[in-house]
Amino acid sequence: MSRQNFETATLIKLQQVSWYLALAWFGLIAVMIFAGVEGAVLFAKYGVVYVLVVTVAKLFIMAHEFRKVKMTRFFILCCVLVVVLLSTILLRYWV
Amino acid sequence: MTDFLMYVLCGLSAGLLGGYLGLGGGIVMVPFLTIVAGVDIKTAVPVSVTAIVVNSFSASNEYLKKGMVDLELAVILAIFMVLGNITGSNLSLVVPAEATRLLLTVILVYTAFSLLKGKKTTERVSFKDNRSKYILACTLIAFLTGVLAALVGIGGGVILVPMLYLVIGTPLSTARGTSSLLIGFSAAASTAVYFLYGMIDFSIITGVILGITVGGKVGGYLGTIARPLVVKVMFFVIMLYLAFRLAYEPMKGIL
Repeated sequence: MSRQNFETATLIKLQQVSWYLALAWFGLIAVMIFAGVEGAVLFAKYGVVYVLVVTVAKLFIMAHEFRKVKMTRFFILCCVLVVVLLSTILLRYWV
Repeated sequence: MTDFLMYVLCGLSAGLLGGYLGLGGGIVMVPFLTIVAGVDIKTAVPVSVTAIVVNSFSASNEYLKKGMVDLELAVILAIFMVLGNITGSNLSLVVPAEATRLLLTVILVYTAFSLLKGKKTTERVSFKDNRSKYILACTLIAFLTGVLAALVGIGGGVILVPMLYLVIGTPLSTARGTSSLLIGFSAAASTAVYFLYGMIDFSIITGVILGITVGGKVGGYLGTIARPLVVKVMFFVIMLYLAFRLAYEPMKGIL
């Protein structure tokens, strides 16, 4: 098993769908702003959370694909990257 | 309403120019928001890094589809760049706005000149993979790039691409692809820090993201058709003007 067997289709699909969803979400907020909906901009907060969740999901997919092709070292590195990203929350609330 | 349209226009212009010239967009976004829309640089930086994450979804996909991403290299460098981003975003809480403006000015001038020279755009014929030799140095550069990117609100491609191409020895297209994927992870780390500290202005982010996503797509498409010298020169002049305007205020305070 090697790099050649690494499957990127799921990662590509996730990024593609996520990009369209982000565009749709922020587009909807823009329509709400134009329609004069009170507090419409606050919905952008969920958009930012969504973007961050997708990033972590991307890492999980990459970790899974690395494991599938038995590139254990890179599977572990992906897990480390997830932990490092999540450590931002720890830094903010526990340190 | 007028402000909202101004943010959309800033995002659109940054996306168009960035996509057209193969830059991430952050390098154009922060000066545009600061100079054109009159947003404080400390507000513009978190908005820019968030927009970069969304933009990287589509940018890195183009390279992934063509198999032009070195995933192993991306993962290794992403760890160090993310650590740098976390450090940089926490540092930005204490770094004064004037210092951020001056730092961005230096990066703008460097980018303007390197883009005009255009040496990086020529692809080599043969490649020598130096990753085992220089990986330690590259992780250090990735960390420092992360710190810098988080401080001034850029992706960091302007440093990463030459590093991967010139030091590691990857093909230029792979360097661009790898950089666009790992920028998505690193900018997400900064976004998380800025979000948790309540530094993201949600009234600006919607317009900017809408603008940069649409502008980035159109700009990226236009960039594949042609990149005439006149646009490069025009961009060079705009970048130098923005750099001057950015540096003017802090320098006025010093002099």
